[in-house]
Amino acid sequence: MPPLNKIGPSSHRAIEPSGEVTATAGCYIARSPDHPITQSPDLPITPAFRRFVAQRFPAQLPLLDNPTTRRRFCQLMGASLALAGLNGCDWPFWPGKKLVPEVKRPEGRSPGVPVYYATAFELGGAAEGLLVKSCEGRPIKVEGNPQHPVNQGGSSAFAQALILELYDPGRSQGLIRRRNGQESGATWDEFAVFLKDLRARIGNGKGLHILSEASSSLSVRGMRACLLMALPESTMKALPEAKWHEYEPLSRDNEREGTRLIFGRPCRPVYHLEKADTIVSLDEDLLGAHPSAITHTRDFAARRNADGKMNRLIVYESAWTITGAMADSRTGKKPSEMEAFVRSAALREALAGREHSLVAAGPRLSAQAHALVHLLNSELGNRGKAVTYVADLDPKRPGHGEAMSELTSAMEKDEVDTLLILGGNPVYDAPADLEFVQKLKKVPNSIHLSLYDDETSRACTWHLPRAHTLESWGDSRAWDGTISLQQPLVEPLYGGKTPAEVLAWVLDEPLFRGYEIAQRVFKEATQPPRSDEAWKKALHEGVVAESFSPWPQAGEQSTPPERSQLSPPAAPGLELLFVPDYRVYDGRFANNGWLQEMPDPITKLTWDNAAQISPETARAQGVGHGDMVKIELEGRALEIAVFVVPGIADGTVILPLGYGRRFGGQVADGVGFNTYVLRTTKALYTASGARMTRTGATYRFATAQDHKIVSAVASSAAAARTPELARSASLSTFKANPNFAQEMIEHPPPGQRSLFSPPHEYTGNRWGMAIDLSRCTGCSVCTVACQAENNVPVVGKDEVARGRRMQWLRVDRYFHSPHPLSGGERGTTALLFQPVPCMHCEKAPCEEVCPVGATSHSNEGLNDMAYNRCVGTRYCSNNCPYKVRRFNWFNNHLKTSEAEKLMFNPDVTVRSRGVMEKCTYCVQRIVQARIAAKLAKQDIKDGDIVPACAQACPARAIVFGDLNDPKSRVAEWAASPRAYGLLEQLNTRPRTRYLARVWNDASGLASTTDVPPVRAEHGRDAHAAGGGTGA
Amino acid sequence: MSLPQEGSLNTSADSTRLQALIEGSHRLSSVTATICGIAERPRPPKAWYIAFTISVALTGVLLLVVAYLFWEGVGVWGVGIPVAWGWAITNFVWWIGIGHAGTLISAILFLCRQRWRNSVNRFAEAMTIFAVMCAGIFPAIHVGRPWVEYWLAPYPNQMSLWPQFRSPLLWDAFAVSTYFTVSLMFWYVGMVPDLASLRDRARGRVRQILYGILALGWRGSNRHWHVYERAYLLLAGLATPLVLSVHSVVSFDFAVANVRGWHSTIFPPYFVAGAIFSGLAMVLTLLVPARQFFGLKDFVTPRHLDAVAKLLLATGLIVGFAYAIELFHGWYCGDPYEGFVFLYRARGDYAWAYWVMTICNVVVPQVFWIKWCRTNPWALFAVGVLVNVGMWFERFVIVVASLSADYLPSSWGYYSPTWVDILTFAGTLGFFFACFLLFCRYLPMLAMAEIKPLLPEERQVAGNASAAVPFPYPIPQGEGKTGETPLVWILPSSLPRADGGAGVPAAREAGATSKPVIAGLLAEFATPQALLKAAAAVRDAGFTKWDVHSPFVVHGADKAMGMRPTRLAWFVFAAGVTGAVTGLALQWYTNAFDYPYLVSGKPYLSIPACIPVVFELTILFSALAAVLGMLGLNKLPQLYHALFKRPRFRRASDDRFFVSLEAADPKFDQSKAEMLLRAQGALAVETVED
Repeated sequence: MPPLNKIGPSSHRAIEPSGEVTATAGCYIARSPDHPITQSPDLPITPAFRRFVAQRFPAQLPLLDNPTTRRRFCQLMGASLALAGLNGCDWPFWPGKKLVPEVKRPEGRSPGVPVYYATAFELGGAAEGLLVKSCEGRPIKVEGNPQHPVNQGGSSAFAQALILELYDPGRSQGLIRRRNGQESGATWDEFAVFLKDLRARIGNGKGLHILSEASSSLSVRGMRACLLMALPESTMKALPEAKWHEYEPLSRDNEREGTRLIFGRPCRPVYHLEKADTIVSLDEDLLGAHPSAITHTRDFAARRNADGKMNRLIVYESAWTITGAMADSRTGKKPSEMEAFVRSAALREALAGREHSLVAAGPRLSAQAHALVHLLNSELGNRGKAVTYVADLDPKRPGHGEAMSELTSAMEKDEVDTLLILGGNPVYDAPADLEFVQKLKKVPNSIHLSLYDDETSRACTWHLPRAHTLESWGDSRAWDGTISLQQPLVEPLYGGKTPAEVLAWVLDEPLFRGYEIAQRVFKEATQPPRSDEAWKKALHEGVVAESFSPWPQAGEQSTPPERSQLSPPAAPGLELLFVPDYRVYDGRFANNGWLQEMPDPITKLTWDNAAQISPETARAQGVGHGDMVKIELEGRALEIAVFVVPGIADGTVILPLGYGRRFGGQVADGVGFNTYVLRTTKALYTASGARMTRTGATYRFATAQDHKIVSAVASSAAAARTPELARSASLSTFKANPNFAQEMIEHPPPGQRSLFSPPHEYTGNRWGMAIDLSRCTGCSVCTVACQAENNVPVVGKDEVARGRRMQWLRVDRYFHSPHPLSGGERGTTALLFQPVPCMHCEKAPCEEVCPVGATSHSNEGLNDMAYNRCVGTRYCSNNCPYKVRRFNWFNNHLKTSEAEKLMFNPDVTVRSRGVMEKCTYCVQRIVQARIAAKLAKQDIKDGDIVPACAQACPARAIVFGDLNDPKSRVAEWAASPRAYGLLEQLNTRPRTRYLARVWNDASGLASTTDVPPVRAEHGRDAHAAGGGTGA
Repeated sequence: MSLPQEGSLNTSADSTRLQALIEGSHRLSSVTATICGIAERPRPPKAWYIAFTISVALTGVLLLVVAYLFWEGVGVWGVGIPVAWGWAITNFVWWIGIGHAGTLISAILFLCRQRWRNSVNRFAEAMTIFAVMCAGIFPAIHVGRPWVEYWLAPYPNQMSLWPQFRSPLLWDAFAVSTYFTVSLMFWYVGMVPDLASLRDRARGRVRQILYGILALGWRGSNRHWHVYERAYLLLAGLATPLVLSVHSVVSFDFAVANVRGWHSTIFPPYFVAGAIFSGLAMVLTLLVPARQFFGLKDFVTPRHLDAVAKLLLATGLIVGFAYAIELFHGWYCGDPYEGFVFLYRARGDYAWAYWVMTICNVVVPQVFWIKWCRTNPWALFAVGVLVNVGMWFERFVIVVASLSADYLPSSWGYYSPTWVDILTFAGTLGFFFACFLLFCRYLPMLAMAEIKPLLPEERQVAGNASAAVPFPYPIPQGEGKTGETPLVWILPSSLPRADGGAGVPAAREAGATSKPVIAGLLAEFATPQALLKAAAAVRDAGFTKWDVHSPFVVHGADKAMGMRPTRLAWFVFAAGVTGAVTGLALQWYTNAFDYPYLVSGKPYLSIPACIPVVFELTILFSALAAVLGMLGLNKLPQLYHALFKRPRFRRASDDRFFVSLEAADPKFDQSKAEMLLRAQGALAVETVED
């Protein structure tokens, strides 16, 4: 690997054993002079010598007969210890290599100062740009690359959780060969021998099939081209007869097909939500599951400003998505109704004449529906404004379902001699009707490159460890086509290889490493070839500017599909909808504890998936929340637990994918239910005609909210309380009374707010946070970012069920029923999200009850926690009305593996058993900013301190700063009329302020009857009346 | 001890009414014999063994589960967020509540001159001690890091950190430890004269030594009784506000917090009433079987049970009233959060616990309006058990139901215990009963010295003739010295010994040849009246170094001896002032001066928050001064005294009354003095040798 200034991987320098070792860290045994009288054993002890000793050293006389002395013992012990220390010098992650200290400090590196490297992370063929923090060679935290057009600093929860995946001790740690039921470890050299045989056997590649997951990587595509085509300039020995298949369980093929219907060739629609006043989403999770959701969320949130030009989001969907949760108007429709609705004229008429709108259709809609939506956007004049198109990278590839069908039929016909599976997990997630696993058994040689020794690996003859994203050289494209370069933060911990590297091996170019591939592809993919400088710059910034290629809009070929051609009527019975999971996606993140424990934004379920149905459906089917049911569809059956969620389309069962893993790893196995068993090529996303029957068993969920509190009195109180906790109002109410949020609750009049006079004043920095509920989509990336930043442990399902999850920042979800804009219509429900970190109350109730003063206030107003002073009475948690404090009921880090320990943020204490912990406002970042400002002899500027949650938030719903600085953003937000403090009537004086959510009730597309939640008389006589706190 | 009643000497008109307090034809000696007899029996009843085995087994379980808890962490319990305090704190409050009846009966009823308390106070005090021990277990083990619990103590340390004195938990630590200390002292001080009885009757060497040490050398001297009575009165006076304060402070754990359902001003009186209520219920639960098994029906009569039942009914009504007020307040305050808590208790997920609590605590005690129920042991026992269950659920409802659904519905959560929770609680029950059974077996269960004055005057005569309850040793009527067992348990070896009887180490026989020194005269009297008469005569004869000895305090003896009041109260007052100043200075120095840190935006020193600790230290210092002052003024412990060598003197703790004249008195003339004493009707006069 060539040395790169500031942009190379920051691992400890590992050198070959043959290399010159200049010094080993303290690993030498000092020779100590022998005991003065201990003779060499071969010299006889003469009587004269004995006499001499008796005269001169009488005390030492016994030693002559018994040479094992205390001193000798100490010497031996010392030597043993030193040898044990020497053993530690063998770095376990690069066996056979020696770790040496950096005698000379590398340029640009200071011990203790973290270094950030730009890289990229690809999911389902679309990338996001990352900036990874590395401390002393250990990547410890992922952040969104601020320079990346998709991320602009934000990131997804999946990206945040990459760190845990990197250090996951459950990752595969070497090659595995499986033959005749035997399993054995293997080496890359053995694999090379196998490949050599293979090449000799298959000649031009006939019988070699490659099944790849979706990839936008130029490197992979370059290697693929070398493999499949005898490129004139290439010296590589191509295998032109080999077949390439691409399969992704969650694909956007229907959308792609829709564009082909309209434009004649497939392309990707790119949405620009900031340009749309009215956004209509048709089962499209723009803000959640879309590959560009980060961008969408940011652009959408930027227009949620109730003070300016607010956009309006109208959602028709079957499941609850976070897009639906953000909607100003949401209508639950069955999947079958959805198709019909798109084809009906209603939508077109309603939107007619509106400028600056955007209609987006979801991947589960049919290609015809997509085509209609593309047409509609053209008609409305949105094309080129709120929606643009970029060329599809691989216009000729068949759909993922088709590709899989082709492969399986080839396997059926024994045409496949060798199947190379690059990533993915088809045994687990291929459509059930293809019976992939049965057919795989007929393939003599099957090779699976994967992070985990998973279901597919166990069905293959070879398992190859895959290099993790953060260990890989490569590149990938974002949804809009922007190229990002990927660089490793560490050497592969377990000797994994990237797909491009494996292809190089197949091409008999084993020395062609990811770095060379990426660099060569990058430089040579354009004309004229890019320079070394451009490579370095791109590597440094992580993104290649202007690299996306908008598809020329000229070639529009509009033969609209027949509007009358309705999709086949739904069969009677329940409709099923397969949806990606917000935590494990398609199942690939199932072994990631952070994601498993991240509560689902809608259901707040952890460590599980479930069949989500509406209360009406539950009633109609005679099942209840937590019942086990059997869902039957076309002869296939699935036993799954029922989770009742109001707001889901009636008659529809939502089945999140990605659970019920059998060989997903220690964390993943046995969690949830495998819904892939019902998924077939015919019904990849929706199915109808399903039957649901109770099995009689019940199931225990571990939800992060509403845990086992089931009484009617509690439910009605919760419903009554919701409006004043997560405050919201319609835009017209807000315009009529901007102070609605503050007037919702009676709070102590300003003059009577403290018994103590004078109250404590904060004169320096007064840190505070503000969270805009209008912007927050509840995506929960903040939760995972906080977990990564603050070394927050994972506790597991049973502990979550006991109310012991450790996440410092939680996102509360409340049902607002009826929907505030629905006019009280039954069955319409809205969701409200409220991230709850520590409020850092100025009159913190937790502090006064701590008997040992383990939690107290800093002079900047932070509610500090001194872990090593904490005795663990938990009184502070009881007295915290926000319940943000988290207690270490056990030594949660007892089971942390050695690998995972590398992941810890060195600036944050790892808490042991029996101590309380909670959000610190990322005090370590405050301190770092203060030190930096001090060194620069400046004050801390607004924006210098960004807590992990605020940094990760794609919606930019969280701001942090100095409340004493009137120009800071947080002070501006806190001064907003929408700002309020949670439970402010308790006079806790929370530093964390919320900005009430405003719903856009502008007319059109949905009823706009407003229910003003405001006490009209407040402000005039309520204070004068004094007394209680009514709402 | 009873309050000094001027000139009454148990001969007042109410002696007939008092008669009902002790049934049977008991005389002084039979009282001693019955009560000491329990502890002297070679084998307790079989039921005792069964109960003790079970209790010790459960104590073992307690040790095991606590070890498991310490090994794994508090997560082995069912607690979580939001219910971070579960059974542990419920059990703590329950036990500490039970621990209130003892001191109530000892102190408050003492001050209220309720003489029926004398038959049950020892018993109830022992119960208090053991209950407080059980209570103390829970705060100690429920914390996350029990090994650093000592950080609650204000001791100077390297970290320059001090406890945070605004926390009710710290107040609690002070209150409970003060309460335990004072209760223990109160119990022990009250037991000293009875331990002397056990000592004097003891036969085995081990028992003689152990009881001898525990009795501190008590001789029933009226000069001792005088200071002792004052100390006891002061302790009662100090324990009375203490018993009210302890559960008030425990209630502050809740009332100071802002959890709805906790944050309530009626908590202190409500908790105190509830504590006494539950304590009395536990008294009934223990007393009814104990009087049955140990044959104490003569001393714990239906009249006692009736009085306890009435008190239970009264406190039960207070508790019921508090429940009603809570509900009323929830409705009337207009705060929806407050209102919800009570609605939730009654109709929410914990409604079952709420109704168990209400029925057991409010409905069940109403049967005590019926006299039959107040006197029938089984009815009393049943009500006692049910009220104990109800009071446990009251604490459960307060602790758990309030926490499980407080402010943010997003954080609500249902709590359920684990097997470790259940076994820990069962283990403390075992520990409690094990302690109690040991108490019943080895210590005087009833306060003999306090029961004896309640006997009618004519039965306060030495019961020599009573063949049914013979004194365990033959008491020689003449000057005989043979066949004695030495009564001096621990002797300074340097002292020359007069007698070298059996059991005295051979080393002492070296001094046996030296001439005995006449230390004084000892005269025995049969009745308190005779004693008083003799005392007056000795006083009039101008003696100064003399004393009278009685098995219980004989009122009028002070006057008959011409004694001046003790200065003990002044010591106690000074100690109380010291305690108050110490408390305030400690809080000021630690929290406002040495290491001030900002807490909840409050001032570094705020007097209201200092009050609990100041109060507790005042009581603690005063009580220590009362006890230590009493011991000091009485020059106790004094394990050797010449009088102990007189076998006759053993009955000073049983049924006889003595006058002792010291040879050191300037007026002492052996023959004249002997004449004087014989003239007063002494049964015997003998010389005491040193």
